[in-house]
Amino acid sequence: MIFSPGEAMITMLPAALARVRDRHILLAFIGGLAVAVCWRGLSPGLEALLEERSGIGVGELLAIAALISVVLRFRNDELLSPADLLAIAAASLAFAIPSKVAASAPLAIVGCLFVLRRDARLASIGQLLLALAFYEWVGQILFHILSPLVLKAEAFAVYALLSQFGRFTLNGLVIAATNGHAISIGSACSAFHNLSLATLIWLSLIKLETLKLKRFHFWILAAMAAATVALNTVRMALMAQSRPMYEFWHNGSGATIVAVTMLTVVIGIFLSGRSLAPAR
Amino acid sequence: LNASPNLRVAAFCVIATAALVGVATRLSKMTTVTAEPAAFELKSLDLRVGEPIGNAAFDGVRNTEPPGVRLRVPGCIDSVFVVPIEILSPTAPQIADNTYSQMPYYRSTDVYGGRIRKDFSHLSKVASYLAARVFVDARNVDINYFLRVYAPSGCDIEPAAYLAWAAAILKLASAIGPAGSR
Repeated sequence: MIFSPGEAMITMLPAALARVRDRHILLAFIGGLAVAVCWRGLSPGLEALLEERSGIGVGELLAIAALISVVLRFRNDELLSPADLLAIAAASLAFAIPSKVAASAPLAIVGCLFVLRRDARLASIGQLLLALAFYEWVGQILFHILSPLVLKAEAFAVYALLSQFGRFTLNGLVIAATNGHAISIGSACSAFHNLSLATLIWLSLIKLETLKLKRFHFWILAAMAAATVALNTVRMALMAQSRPMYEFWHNGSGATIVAVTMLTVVIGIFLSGRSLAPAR
Repeated sequence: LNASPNLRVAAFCVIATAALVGVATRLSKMTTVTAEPAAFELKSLDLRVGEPIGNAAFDGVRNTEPPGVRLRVPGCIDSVFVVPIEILSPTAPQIADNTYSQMPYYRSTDVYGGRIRKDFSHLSKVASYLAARVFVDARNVDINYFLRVYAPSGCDIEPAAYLAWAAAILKLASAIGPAGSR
């Protein structure tokens, strides 16, 4: 008997669906979240896909890769209960809405559902989803609420650094040099965004290697956070020097240099911290 | 408790369908969507001096940091200034006050979401913004900016006038469109 491609697909589909396992369901979920997270607010044209303004960044890519690697460890195991399946399916409906806020809801819901599970694979998926939801959505809300305090602390840190090298004044969030140049520390300048990205990268790199979080992992995170804040403080201090310095470090090549340096340092600390850990 | 194969298949189909519909809905929005929130550029407002805005008349743009729309209001000797301020910025309101409070006897009134906001703290701004975002596209000027009106203390201005000025200026700014789409 000879089947046409269409007929073969219709014949094989029920058999394929009968073999659906937990890993297939979770991979479909990751597919939905990849669409929702990486496809927010793209400009028309494929060239926009890799621009900074698209949703595709190192953090998202690493988190998705880590999620896939954890899900593939399920093999044919069946760990999801009927209630889990209903919750995941219901939450996934939000992926259909082309809105970043709506898309973050399934991440948060399924993340909360899994994060305290005994099975290390489910718990890891929960941790990764919550870290992604924090980076994409919750963290930004938290930052907006805390920004007056956070920015004051960061402005003071920049001022404290600058005062070692010259005469500067701090008025609220404005740092002024004696040459008349002044900068105002705005929300976009904060290290908070870099910290939530560093946390997402940290967790994703761990989960690509192992499912268990150990004490030395948190020391690595602390070092990554300290380096991130230090680099961002130095960047703002450089911007406060003069107008040309501001243009270079804020709008020019300096911004790229800082972004690449920060990413390199963060990943470098993770890798060296991992290799230095005595008994893993 | 193990799930039945049928439930497993149903869940898989729902999730996969939601992901595919998500691709379709995003593709359908691609021609109009830009990542950048709309910028409120007062210089781009298509207005001539003397043109009516509510019960007032447009009298130019004050080019300070931040810039403000200057209005001539009946019964007021001095001008009224309407200043768009980014709602999530903790610094912008302070900078605006530093600039406009140099004018003595001026008081400020905040307008957001078609309402006059008394004691519009940073926290209530964040809460109002998040509530607005549920219904409105995040790139709209309307939700990313509130308007702070600086008016001479001696002027008797009806609350409805504030709302009318804000609505008219936001409508003009929205007509310009998101910065990235031009």
